[in-house]
Amino acid sequence: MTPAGVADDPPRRPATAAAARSHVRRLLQRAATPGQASPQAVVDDILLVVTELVTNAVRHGGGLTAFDARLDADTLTVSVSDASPVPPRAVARDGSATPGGFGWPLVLRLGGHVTVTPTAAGKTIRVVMGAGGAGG
Amino acid sequence: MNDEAEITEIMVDGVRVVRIAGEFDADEADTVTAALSAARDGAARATVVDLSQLAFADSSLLHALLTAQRQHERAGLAFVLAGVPPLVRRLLDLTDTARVFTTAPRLTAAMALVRAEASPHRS
Repeated sequence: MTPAGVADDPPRRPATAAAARSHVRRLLQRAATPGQASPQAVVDDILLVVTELVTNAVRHGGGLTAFDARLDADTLTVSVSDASPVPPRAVARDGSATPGGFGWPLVLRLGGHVTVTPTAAGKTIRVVMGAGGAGG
Repeated sequence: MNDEAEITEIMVDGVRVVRIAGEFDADEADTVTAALSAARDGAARATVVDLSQLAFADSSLLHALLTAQRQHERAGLAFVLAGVPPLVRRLLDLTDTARVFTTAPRLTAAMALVRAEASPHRS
């Protein structure tokens, strides 16, 4: 079902958050050595951050214009670009039972180092997270 | 692993059991919200959401669950999350929304909880 040669090619712009997750999941799996795979909890956090970033770009950022994920030793850097110069902000929450406004605070909480950089076409959000195994 | 998002629904003793399986993010949020709507037909006295087969969930699923919980509460209907997987538990803890929900470790426990809540002899 997958076109030949595309399976392991990182999509420049995943069409959906699910596609972005698949790409990052493969990236982590390819880099894993026996006994040193990222713990599931770490993977879960990474995939959550990736999903929130891509979803925000698509739904609030005027569209996803670029996506990059790279792994360097135990550090994962994800860069998500969109077409809106408006920076993400945490919507003020008036209580636990009120839905909404969780996405960006989750990114800030889970993303080790988060930067928002204006670009000519919009902005780029870069998140640097640990992806390590034991002791990472 | 790329689990297809799937929502299935059955009625058990007047309780609507909605199973959410696979990966859920904003692209499935509307479907979840509709599936969990409390006012759909009035036939159910409670809704139990079986999350045990959930492979991924983000804040949009949390949003849908919170919306449904509020609806059920307003309608006087029980709303229970069953089989909450670690990744959802983490989401609830990170957003400080865990205390909003009634949870049960598995479906059988959730059903018992609903029956106990509905009991007219509750002291």
